[in-house]
Amino acid sequence: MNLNDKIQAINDSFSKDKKNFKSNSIKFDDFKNKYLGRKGLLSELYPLLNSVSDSDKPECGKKINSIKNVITKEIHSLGNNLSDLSNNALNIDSSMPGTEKFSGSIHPLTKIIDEIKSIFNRIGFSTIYGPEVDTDYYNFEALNIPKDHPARDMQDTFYINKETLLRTHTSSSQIHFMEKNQPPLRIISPGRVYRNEDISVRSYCLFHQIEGLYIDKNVKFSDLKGTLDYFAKSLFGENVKTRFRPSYFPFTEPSAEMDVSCIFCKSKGCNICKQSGWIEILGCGMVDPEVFKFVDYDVDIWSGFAFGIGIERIAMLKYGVKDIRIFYNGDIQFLEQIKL
Amino acid sequence: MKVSLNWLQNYVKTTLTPSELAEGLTDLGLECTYEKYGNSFSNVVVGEVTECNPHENSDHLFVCKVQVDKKSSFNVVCGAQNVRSGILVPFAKIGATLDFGKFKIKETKIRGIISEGMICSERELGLGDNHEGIMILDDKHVRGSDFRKTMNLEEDIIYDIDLTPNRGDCLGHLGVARELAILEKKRIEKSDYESIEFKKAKVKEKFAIKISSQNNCKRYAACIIKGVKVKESPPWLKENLESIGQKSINNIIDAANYILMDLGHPMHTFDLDKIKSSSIDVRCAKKGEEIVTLDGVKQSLSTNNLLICDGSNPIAIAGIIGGNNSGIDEKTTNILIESAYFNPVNIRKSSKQLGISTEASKRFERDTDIDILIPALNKLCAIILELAGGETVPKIFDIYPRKSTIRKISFNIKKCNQFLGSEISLQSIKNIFDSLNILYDKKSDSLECTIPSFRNDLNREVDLYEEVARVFGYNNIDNSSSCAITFSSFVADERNIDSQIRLLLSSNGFNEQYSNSLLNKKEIDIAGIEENSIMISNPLNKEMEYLRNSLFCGLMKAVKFNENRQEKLFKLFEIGAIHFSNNFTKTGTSESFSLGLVWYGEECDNWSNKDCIDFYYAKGEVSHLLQSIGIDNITFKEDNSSEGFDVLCNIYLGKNHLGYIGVPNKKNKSQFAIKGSLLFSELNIDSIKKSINKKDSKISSWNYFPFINRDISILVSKEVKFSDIEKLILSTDNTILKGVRLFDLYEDNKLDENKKSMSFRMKFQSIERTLKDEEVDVIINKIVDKLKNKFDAVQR
Ligand SMILES: [Zn+2]
Repeated sequence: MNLNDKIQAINDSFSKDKKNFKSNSIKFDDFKNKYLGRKGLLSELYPLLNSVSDSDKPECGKKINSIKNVITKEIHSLGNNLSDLSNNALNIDSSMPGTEKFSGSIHPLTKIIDEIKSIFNRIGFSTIYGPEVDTDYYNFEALNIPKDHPARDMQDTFYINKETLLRTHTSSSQIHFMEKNQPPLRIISPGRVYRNEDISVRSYCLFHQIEGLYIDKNVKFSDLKGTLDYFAKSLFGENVKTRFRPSYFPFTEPSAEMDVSCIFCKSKGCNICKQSGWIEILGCGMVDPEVFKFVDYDVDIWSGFAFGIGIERIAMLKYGVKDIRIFYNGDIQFLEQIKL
Repeated sequence: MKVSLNWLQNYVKTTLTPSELAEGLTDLGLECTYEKYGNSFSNVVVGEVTECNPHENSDHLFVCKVQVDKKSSFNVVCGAQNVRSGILVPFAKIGATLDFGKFKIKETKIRGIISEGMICSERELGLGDNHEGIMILDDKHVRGSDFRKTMNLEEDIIYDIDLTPNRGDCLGHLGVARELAILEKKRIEKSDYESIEFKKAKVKEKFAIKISSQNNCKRYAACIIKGVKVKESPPWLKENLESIGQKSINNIIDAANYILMDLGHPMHTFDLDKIKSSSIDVRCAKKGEEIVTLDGVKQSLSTNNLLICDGSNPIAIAGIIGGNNSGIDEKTTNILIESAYFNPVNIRKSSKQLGISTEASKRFERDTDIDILIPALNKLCAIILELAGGETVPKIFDIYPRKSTIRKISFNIKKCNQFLGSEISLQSIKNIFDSLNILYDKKSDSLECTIPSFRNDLNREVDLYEEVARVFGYNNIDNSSSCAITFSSFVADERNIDSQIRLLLSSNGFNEQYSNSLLNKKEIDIAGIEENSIMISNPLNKEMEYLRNSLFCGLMKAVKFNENRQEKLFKLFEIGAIHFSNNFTKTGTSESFSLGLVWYGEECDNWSNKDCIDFYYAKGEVSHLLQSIGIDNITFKEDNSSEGFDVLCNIYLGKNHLGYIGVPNKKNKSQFAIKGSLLFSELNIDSIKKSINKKDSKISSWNYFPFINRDISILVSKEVKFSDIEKLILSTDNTILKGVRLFDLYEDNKLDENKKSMSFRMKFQSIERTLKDEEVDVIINKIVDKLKNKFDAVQR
């Protein structure tokens, strides 16, 4: 059969099937496959090109394309109008599940970090970063924690060698930033920190922190309180109350611990707040003048405050997680529950 | 540290409830919790039931009259079946508390009858589990007497204080009592521990004390008691020590321990007769010197360890632990009591180095009160004389070569208020300093403050600001309500790209995971090159000796975790720092941020989607991700040299290596015991960031002319690479040919087993005019010719 005959045959057959389809005697899918399927009638046309002389090839190719276009268009438009033609032909069970997608998720710790970042970004805190492997100087010395200081017992440290260690807090980022920048400054620095502690339900060998630092002229203790109170209300809701307790960090003076009123029992006392009605959220304080000396800031001009927030602790509270290890094992049944 | 409420009350009487006291101390910076020790009730007396009648509105209640003394009797409704007239009972009056203050007795109405108190059961009083009925007391007890006293029930509250390292002064009851005094607005009488009178002694003893290492020992005091009798401690002492978790040993050691817990000052007792040549030298260890300590352990000493030595040998490691050659035993009759001040840094270094931490060393390393040496010695002597008899040698040794200077700090009230954002009056400040035992002189606009010797943590003006703030109350300082922003202080977030990647991947069905950055040796070898890895010198265990140099292992472990849970199909990603050693940075390490991706499973198992999770699937997702953040035109180059992967392709943008994608082989997967099929990709985020075209991508003219699509299908040898065909097609025209897509690939043995059929769709468009079919045909023909010549392709 030559090409032209074949084209004619297909055309005839198509006219007939169109009628059959409209009278419901042929199903749409069968109809479509007969012409457009991988082994449909139209696919039989291209091999016939080989038998055509080279000079005729463009002409014949055009013809094939043309009939292909016509038939494709018609079939598609018939398909689009299916519902108008007949409900039987549509044959849809709308209760069938839609095509499944993988359920993606963002890690709960990322979510908390992002939320805290945005709370502070709103009031002019920029986000900066520091290295996880650092020197003793940045992690301790410049933060007014000399060697042989009892405060070193507060943190069990992983060492690479005598002078190099895995940072035990994000406070080290403060020093890096202050060395390179002059006040006024307002920064937060999220990141991973390490502690040489046995792994248990409540502690892991690493965790995440967000460090904050605000230095300007006349920064007052009441500014620290106001800022962190704003933070707590932004994160936990407008009704939470904050309480500040004296504490000790070598790089701040005065130092404080901030508690928020227990969001679970509305301060009545429960297991989570150990009946106290308060939950400890972060450590903070006015930057110690000794720290300013390390970075050559004039202590008579500048003052400021710093704070450190434990991300896991807040994530555990917000998501009701009891075992800290679940954050690090990649359990998708856990991860999938965290929604954007 | 544990402190007893009763003990504290030796110094300051308090009316605060246990929880008020705990809260008050916490607000002052001594974070604490408390536990009952002994009894849980208050205000319970012995009462006599004088009348007992059935309740008119109840079949199980009684209405009783309880007589407490001649004048007062109370109406009480009682439900216990063993209540009857004529018995003595524990009676909780109105205002009494039970269960450590949680339950307060109030006047109540029970079924219409007023009840003015409660007759208690054993369990209600915390004395036992019996709740069958009320407690009935022996006749010997006296009506109206305090129930606790008449029953000889000692009660106490034990506070457990989580002390911060700066407050070494609170490592004893005296120190905590000073804080309690602040809460109670009272003063502690110094006479309580300073003026103790001794029995007049007659004995004499020749003894000499020398301090060779004056840097490490600023003051050394001692006294001698002769003729003591070592025996068991009396009950009061045992109980006191036990209540705060200390074991009783014998009267001498217990007495010293008691003073340690009382004043916070560690003292040591030696058996005088074991000290050779009747002399003591406080010196540093000689090279190679050794000592066997009280716990029987032989310690090799180094030259910075401070020692207490007799004529020839060490008899104690100063401030840390005694030697077993000089300790008190049952036969001891003559003792030497040491009361000294040691350099905190020296004690801490030695304690760390020798690995010995004792109650004494914990206090010395936090610095002690140099002025308490003699009062402490006096108090301990008095107790030992009382418990063990004996007589003191009149001479008290006190070697104190260079007296400490009195610490003075100038305090400016205006600056303080400015710093705190407060408005505290001068009078309030003075009251605060009084409560802290800080003396002051007014000098123009400042106060010249004298710091008490026990507060070694107060050295600068700012330290006093903190003291003022904590006594005034952090929560009494108002919060600021605004903050002004300085625009110039903004810094761009250099890791912003991470957030974009996270959003793209999570909405594309990837779960973000975090994994441990610490790996074992085997894992580090799998993931990267060992020479560049970073080892922890003091790892927690062998499983966590190295810092990760790739995200591969973390993701593989997560895959294994989920495979074990029967998950069949999932995608994971992680963004995190990976680390390498080098020799050009200060830390000798460098850190870069990496993105790891995993596809697990073979094909989608949804009724309407049977996508195959293969190399092309993963490659498509990586390409899509990079395109979405602005990186086009990446190339994939196969790397056949890599171990561990069946297929591995490096990903480049031009010459920039961005990362790789691959199919881990069986051996590699078996190291994690993974059975299923998976793909892995790791991309260097820092390289990606550099590769993003920073120029604002301009939108091409909206007023474009229609485009024409043309398809061709060719039959070509399986050896021919897509990228070569693509390159050839694109090289045919650079004016109107805008792109080429492979839209079908078909391999069929019936066709030709060495060939594949490929269908391409070319897009033609001009920015100047509407294209004519003819001009497109010319290019198509050219393409077909070229394909034929170069690859022997046959158009189908
Ligand atoms: Zn609660």
